[in-house]
Amino acid sequence: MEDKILLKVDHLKTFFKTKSGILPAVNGVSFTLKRGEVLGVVGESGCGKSVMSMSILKLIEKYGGKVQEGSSVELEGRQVLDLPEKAMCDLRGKEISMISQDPMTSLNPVFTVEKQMVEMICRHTDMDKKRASAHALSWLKRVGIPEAEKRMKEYPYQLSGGMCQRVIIAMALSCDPKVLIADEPTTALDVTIQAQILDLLRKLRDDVNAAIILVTHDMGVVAGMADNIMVMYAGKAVEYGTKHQVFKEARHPYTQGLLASVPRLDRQEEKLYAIPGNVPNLTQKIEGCIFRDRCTKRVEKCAGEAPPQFLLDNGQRVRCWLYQEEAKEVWDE
Amino acid sequence: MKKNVFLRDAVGRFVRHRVAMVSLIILVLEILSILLLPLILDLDPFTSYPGQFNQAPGNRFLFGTDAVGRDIFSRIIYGGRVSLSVGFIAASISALIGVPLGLIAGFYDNGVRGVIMRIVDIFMSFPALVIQMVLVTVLGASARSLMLVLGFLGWTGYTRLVYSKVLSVKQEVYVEAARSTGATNLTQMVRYILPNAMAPVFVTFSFAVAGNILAESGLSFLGLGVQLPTPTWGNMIRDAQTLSTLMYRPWMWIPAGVVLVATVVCINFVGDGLRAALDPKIKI
Amino acid sequence: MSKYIIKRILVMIPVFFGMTALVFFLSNMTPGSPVDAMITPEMSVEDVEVLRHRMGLDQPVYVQYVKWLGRMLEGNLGNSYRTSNPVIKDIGERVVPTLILTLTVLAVGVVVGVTLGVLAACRPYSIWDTLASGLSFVGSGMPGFFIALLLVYCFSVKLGWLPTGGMYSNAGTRAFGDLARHMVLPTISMAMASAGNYIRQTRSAMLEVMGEEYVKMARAKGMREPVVLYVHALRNALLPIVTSIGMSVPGLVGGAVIIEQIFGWPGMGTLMVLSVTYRDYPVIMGITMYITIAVLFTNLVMDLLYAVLDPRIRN
Repeated sequence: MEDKILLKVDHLKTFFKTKSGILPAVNGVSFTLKRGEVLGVVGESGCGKSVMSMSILKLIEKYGGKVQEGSSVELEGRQVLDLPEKAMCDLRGKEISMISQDPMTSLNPVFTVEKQMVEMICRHTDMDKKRASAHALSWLKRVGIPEAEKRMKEYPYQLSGGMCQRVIIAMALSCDPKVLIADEPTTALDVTIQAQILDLLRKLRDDVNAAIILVTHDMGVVAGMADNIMVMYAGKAVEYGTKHQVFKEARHPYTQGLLASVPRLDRQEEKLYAIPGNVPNLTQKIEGCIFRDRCTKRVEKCAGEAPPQFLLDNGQRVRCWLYQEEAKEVWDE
Repeated sequence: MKKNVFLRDAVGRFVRHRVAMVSLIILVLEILSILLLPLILDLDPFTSYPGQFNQAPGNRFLFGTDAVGRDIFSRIIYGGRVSLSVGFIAASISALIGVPLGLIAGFYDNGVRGVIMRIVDIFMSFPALVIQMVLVTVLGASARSLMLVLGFLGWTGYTRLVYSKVLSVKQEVYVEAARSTGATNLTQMVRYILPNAMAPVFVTFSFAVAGNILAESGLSFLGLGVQLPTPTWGNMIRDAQTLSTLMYRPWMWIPAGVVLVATVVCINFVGDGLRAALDPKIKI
Repeated sequence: MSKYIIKRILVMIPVFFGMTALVFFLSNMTPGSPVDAMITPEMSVEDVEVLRHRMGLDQPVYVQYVKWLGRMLEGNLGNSYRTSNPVIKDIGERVVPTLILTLTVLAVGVVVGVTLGVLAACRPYSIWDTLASGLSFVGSGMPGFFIALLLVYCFSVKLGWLPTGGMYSNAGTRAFGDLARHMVLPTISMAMASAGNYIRQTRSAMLEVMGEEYVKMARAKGMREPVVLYVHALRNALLPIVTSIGMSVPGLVGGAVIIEQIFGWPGMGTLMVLSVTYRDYPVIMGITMYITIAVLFTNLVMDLLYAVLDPRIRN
């Protein structure tokens, strides 16, 4: 594995203009990604993780969002956010690919699988239709679709959810992207199929050596796959660390709450734990730490000032005043 | 309790829909004029004033007179009565037929559904005007027969709408709950399912009124609707078919046409406003 | 696929019988009978009876209907009570003008309506959106006959650019340019309402499709925006658009009646009005039959089109 940084996201901010005010859906997120690395982005619904994925590809602008000036997304040193739309289209699918939540609706119902895959391959490579078709076929086989020749000519409504997701994964990887953003790839699937798809992603990660950003609300999903984990809340990253650090040594009260909420089969529990309260209304300015209303460990300082991310000795980052003392330095705003 | 909040919300949303509000105000003013002006002013749509044939608008006659000397302004006001009442009553008749049929077709899972929806298909695939023309010759042409004809032909829209609403609502848990506590079919349909279908029914109703007014004016224009001397906007425009009237006496047909168009457009906008008001998902 | 077609055709048969029977019975219920027009003062009561018997009018209605059906299947639609010509001849010479007008209106309405609807959806708040809204507003509010009168007043009477009516100028030569000039005003009058309707349907269908997940995926794949909109989105939006076009065809036929009347267009519409006024049953029945067949045929074409567009239907 090379040690060069592949993707560098810095102070990414995306906002929406709504009737009740400006909604900062993504409020300053930064991380780096190396080749072959899997970054798990975890958070509850509405924390901004999907908006963040769409912002990296500048897709969010078509859906009413605006990436703020000062945000930076660098792919191998090139600033992505400055690219004109034509160049952006070249980049999407070829260098950074994305798969989405609902596989059944992510495929166009009136075109065959073959047509949709060939369209993308021909767009990004100089293969002709025949070669593109063969290439698509080989990828379908690679993602484990039985009777791939038959499936190519079929329409999405003839495929099951798991099969659709395999097709989409094949399609997303068919042009050898450097980064794959998987936005809740298993949420809409049955549990058994979920496991299959995650296995597939794991296997492909080893084969293809693409970096993966795995966005999900399910801690269990990242447990199996991620190298590093970033926990998001209300548009900000509140914790970052290796998988081990986040699962075994979670620092931020929110992360600890998330982990405690996961139902365990190996323990006897009277009541399932849930983090009290609700995600705050982001159109209104909040004084201090965004999590303080729901935090069981808050102190006075939390109400006054919003904490920056502190960098700890072991490389872990936490956005919480409780760790100001032991922090090596302030990592970012 | 819940119903009141919903209504209050809906009214609020309607008020914010500026075009619909303006249209509603115009319509209310229009209806008030049609009802009250004859009481205040001395309007006479039927008397021919000798020596006053084909007068252009002037001091005495606000919109001039027609070929036999009748006051056009009065005729427009009275015509409004006819057109609006035909539109409204026909739409009501259609609703009274169509909504129950839609409820039945949606609720009962057996052959009844197939028969009803097939009849709907047949009715909808035939040119309405043609059937209207034939029916009008059977029943004779008058405002009353038009109400019946338009009413008995216009129910299909309601049925289709209510049918699809019933299908989706039938699956809801509270309906199942009602069923399991022993509610009769009729109770289920009327108390639980119907209220949910009413919002789009009102929207359809307003568009139906507009459509009926247009249909009535079309038939009257052809001479197959309301007969003279009773004025209706449609048969007033009919005069324009003679070239001389068309060319030299625009006051005879343009005002009636403008009022007709304005009324229909306002009703359509109110319908749009209703649709936006009653469906929380639509952004205003 | 062929099973689908056969099923659709089978459904059409009861509709045909139902429709023709309905109109037959209704026409029979009209007060007055065609005999009334033929009675002369010299005829005695017996003569009238003989006349009625010869015209088959003394038999029960359903018998008359069956007899009519039988003759129709042989190709004999009887003679017009008004002109005494064979109904087929009277209608026959009117079919083509009506077809020309109706098909042109359909084509113009669809092209203008769908194009503007797509543009309005893809470029909100632009000039296209305003234009589309305006046309849609006019189309839904203004009845065809009023538009027609206004257009005639403006372009024929005041400006003299276009003829006021008829299909050709009296010179007798059937020049295409002449026909085209005569068609402009009737077509615009009818097409405004249609186009207005199609604009609304297209715009809302496109907007709905543009929010779908597969459109987002097409963008994420790196497809350029025109491809996303006009290949991925439009193709799916066509399904509801075609449905609404199909449902608007009966309205077109009806609208043609009024417009033909205004412009003196020698088509089936004017014949229908005449026949209804004269209680000319054979012609009324003949026109009904034509219209029913035309509508059923259109439905079939729409169904086929739908199957071509939507692979899910084909099974």
